[in-house]
Amino acid sequence: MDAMNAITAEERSLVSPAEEGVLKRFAAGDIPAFEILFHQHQARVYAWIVRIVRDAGIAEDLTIETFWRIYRARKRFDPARGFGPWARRIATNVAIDGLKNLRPEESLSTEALPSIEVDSDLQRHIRKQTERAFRQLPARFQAVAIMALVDERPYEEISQALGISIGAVKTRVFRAVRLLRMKLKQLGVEP
Amino acid sequence: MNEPSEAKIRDLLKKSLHSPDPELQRDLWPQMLRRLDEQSSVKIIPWLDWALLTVPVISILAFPHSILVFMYCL
Repeated sequence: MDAMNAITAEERSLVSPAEEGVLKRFAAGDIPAFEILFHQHQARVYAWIVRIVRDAGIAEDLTIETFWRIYRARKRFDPARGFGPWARRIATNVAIDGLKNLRPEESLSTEALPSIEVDSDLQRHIRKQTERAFRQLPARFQAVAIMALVDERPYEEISQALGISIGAVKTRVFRAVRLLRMKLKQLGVEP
Repeated sequence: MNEPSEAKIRDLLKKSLHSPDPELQRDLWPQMLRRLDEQSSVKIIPWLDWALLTVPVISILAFPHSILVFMYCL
């Protein structure tokens, strides 16, 4: 069964009759209903996107883009299935598209890097090269590597967000690691 | 999969990538409304464009010599 089509009992119970009414109105193109959903979900959608793209400004723009795509696709939305998982899947696709639009050499914000006690020149060099190598990966590999390796999200959650099987997620993570290791070696870093 | 190697890559990525604040700092609804307004006005323009385009196309089809007049105007 398609992982994204598998709706859990827990997810189903989250859709209250009142919420279902809002979802039905949204699907019919009602802007006030869309506003309710926007306010309910914008923080979660933003938090999901910012973890993938690692930049607050870009994440805000992509959050808007996500809700725009959600609004455009409202007729295809099934109110019985819940808004959250659907929004997350669209947000993931938007975030991946956002990563594609970034140039590989374009460095994202380096503020608030994790603090390291002894930050030698060598460590700084390694971190810079790692980020550089990472940004050279295809967008779909960057996204899966962040979700699986940096955020350590469960594979099931990643498979739902990407709309692919758990096996495909594992394969993608494996390829991302292999490619990143190769690029790091080219840049003189031996992980 | 080579687990120790994957763990090293994981550590390296965690140390190297910027950790963003996951909290949204402001309400994005005003921006969303602007986007909705922009798109609805964009939706109207193509109809007008098509209507304006139809006139010369019909003229050219009905009176092929009128193309010279249009070319002169351009």
